[in-house]
Amino acid sequence: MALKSLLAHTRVQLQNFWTRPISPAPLGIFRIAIAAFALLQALLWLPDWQAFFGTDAWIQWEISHALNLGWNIHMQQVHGFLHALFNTSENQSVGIFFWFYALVLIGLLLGWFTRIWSVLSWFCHYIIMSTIPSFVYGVDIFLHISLFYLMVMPCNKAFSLDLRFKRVSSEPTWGSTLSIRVLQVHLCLIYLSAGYEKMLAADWWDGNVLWRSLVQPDFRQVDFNWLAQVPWLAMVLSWGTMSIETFYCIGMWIPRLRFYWLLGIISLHIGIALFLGLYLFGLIMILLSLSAFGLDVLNDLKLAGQRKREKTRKESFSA
Amino acid sequence: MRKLIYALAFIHLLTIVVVIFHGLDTAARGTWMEKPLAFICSVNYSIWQYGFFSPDVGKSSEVQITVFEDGGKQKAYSTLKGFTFFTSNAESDNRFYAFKHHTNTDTTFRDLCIRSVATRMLNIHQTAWRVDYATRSIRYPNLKDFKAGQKIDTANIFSTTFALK
Repeated sequence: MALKSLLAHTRVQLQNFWTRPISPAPLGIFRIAIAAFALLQALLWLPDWQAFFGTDAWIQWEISHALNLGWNIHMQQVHGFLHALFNTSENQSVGIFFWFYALVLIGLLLGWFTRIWSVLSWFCHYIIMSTIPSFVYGVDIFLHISLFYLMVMPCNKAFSLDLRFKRVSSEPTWGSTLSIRVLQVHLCLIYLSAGYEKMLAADWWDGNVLWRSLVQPDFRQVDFNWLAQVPWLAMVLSWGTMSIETFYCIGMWIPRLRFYWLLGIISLHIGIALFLGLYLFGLIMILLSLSAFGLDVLNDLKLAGQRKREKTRKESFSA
Repeated sequence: MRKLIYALAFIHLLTIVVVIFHGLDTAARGTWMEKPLAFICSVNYSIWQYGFFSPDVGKSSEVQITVFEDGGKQKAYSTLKGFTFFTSNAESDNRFYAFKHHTNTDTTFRDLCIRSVATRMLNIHQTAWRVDYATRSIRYPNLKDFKAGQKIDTANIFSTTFALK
């Protein structure tokens, strides 16, 4: 009997979790954060754009095209299209593609006819990823995942021109709930995987991987050789990293812990940005966590403040 | 429609779970599933192992490109001595970490890409006639051994020469 009621209770909880309409505000925050991020990345890329995408890039078109899978769309095909329409040269096509990408990201950022811009943003990024597979790393993967989500999620239901011009309603729906939950669960899985894989490597437990990543010349920002004199610190930092990542999927669902866990994950990514020089990677991971759980944390803090005020009022009243 | 969307979302999350716990590592290789999964991955990267790089974070390597020009001039570019592949900021330079990782581990990729890099160097140095490309791995000792004075271990991964004459 007890088991039956427990199962029924769990079913109701699960149903509420996935279907009870919640505010679409996190989706608006997610859209603005990711579009602004992609714009920043594009602007930083601009001086080196031709060196990566031009016909005489570090990896020439013939080679990067040959490395592609059959369905990938390469910059060479974009040039073929633009050349047929406007008779552009290779480098002109690459330049036009850049400004088109920047334009669609601005459209996505403003949230005006959002669906069109979100599909185009994802498509442009798909071409970018297909053209330079050898230069792609974590930041591009997470940006691509985000742009895919923006394409299919109702991200114009908050903080958008679509909403201002009444093209959409800000009413919470099952669609906005499902979208936010998918984003949250996906982030939990990402961190669970990253933390769990670290735990499988003995070098993570004794701090050696963290030490090597701080001192190795590819990422080194400041001299960390002194860390060898205090190996316990490298070990503590490693354990901290593994714990924050692995148990993110628990910490983020407990209101009392959520604020501290978010703070922990933000600190971790600030550390990666400052000490490994992976500024954009650190930034996109912070933005993803803020988009998925930032509003929940804000509500937790408001609620905690309210409770504290009520408690103080009751105490002063009874005194 | 609503049920279909929920089902698709569920399949999407389930795929991620299966992939991150290595459920498809060997099961899909060489089967009919390989191409559809690769296609899904290029669309949304759900077939991506987020933790795959965890043990490799501390690995490092040095690239040295030496350009020989007419008149006996010779210029060596080393990533250990500040060579950043002529990039204008750290974010662009970071992309070469992925490039180095690929060339160190995949020999076919290496053969194709290093040729391309050499061609670019020849384009930059208009009077150059030879380009040497070498990669060395850099392995730091562990904390205990470094404290005890053990040196940083370097080893040649590969080197190649492209000459026009």
